[in-house]
Amino acid sequence: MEKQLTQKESLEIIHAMVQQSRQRVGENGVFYLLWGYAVLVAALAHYILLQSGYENPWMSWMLMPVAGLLSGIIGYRKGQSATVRTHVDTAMAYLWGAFTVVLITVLTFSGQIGFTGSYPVVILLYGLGTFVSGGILRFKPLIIGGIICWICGIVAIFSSFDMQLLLMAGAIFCGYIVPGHLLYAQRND
Amino acid sequence: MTDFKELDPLLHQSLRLAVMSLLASVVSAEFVYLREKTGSTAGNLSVQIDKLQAAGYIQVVKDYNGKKPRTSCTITPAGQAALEAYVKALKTYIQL
Repeated sequence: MEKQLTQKESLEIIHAMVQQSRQRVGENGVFYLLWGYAVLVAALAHYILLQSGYENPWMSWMLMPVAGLLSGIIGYRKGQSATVRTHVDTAMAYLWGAFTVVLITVLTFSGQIGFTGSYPVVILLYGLGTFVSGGILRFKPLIIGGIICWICGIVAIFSSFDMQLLLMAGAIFCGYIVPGHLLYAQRND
Repeated sequence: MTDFKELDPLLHQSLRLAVMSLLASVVSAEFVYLREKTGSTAGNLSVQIDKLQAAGYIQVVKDYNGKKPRTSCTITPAGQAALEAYVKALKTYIQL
């Protein structure tokens, strides 16, 4: 026969289980690293090709569907092996889903929006994604990275196109790559 | 004189309370997750999950992840309300 729970023990159980359910945030690191490096390489390559007078310097962005595919595979695998679905998972799914929709829309209609306007908007979007996810994950480096992206985005509005590429590289380094490494280092905590 | 609220006997048991607390904190959780976090045996956990399901406090879905059988649990609105009432009742005792 099980002994009767005391009220104190009850509260301790509830508290312990709520603590247990807190998610390890480090698992998200891989996505920031994947996209961070993909955009960094593509932006810098675009800049270099532009400066070299290459005919289609934007070809470096073909890296994006590759990154998208990898991201999808990794995400699917993680989803299949996960034994719990948390509110953080739901929030992140909605955030990055919306981010993707807006990003693709802006890039698809960059002709109508104006090429010199699209890239700053994309940089501002990076800022939104990292800032909000930093808040959801309670991870300061992402929040700071997000703010840096916004600053780069605003500067980009007043910059020439080739400068915008460098600002994009800088923004993605501070907003995705640095926080990504910090997160990844925590993945087993 | 403080009113001692009655404690729901279904929740006033360590493993059932642990399971409900976990499920209240997440969207849904699998059997293996609940077993890992509560440190219980599979048999005991199974029994307690059945009791909670019978009371309508949790919803249980059994399907397959490829070839592996999978049991997913979600707290119901009734279960959420019951847990909140339980915590509120607990506090009437602790206040003393």
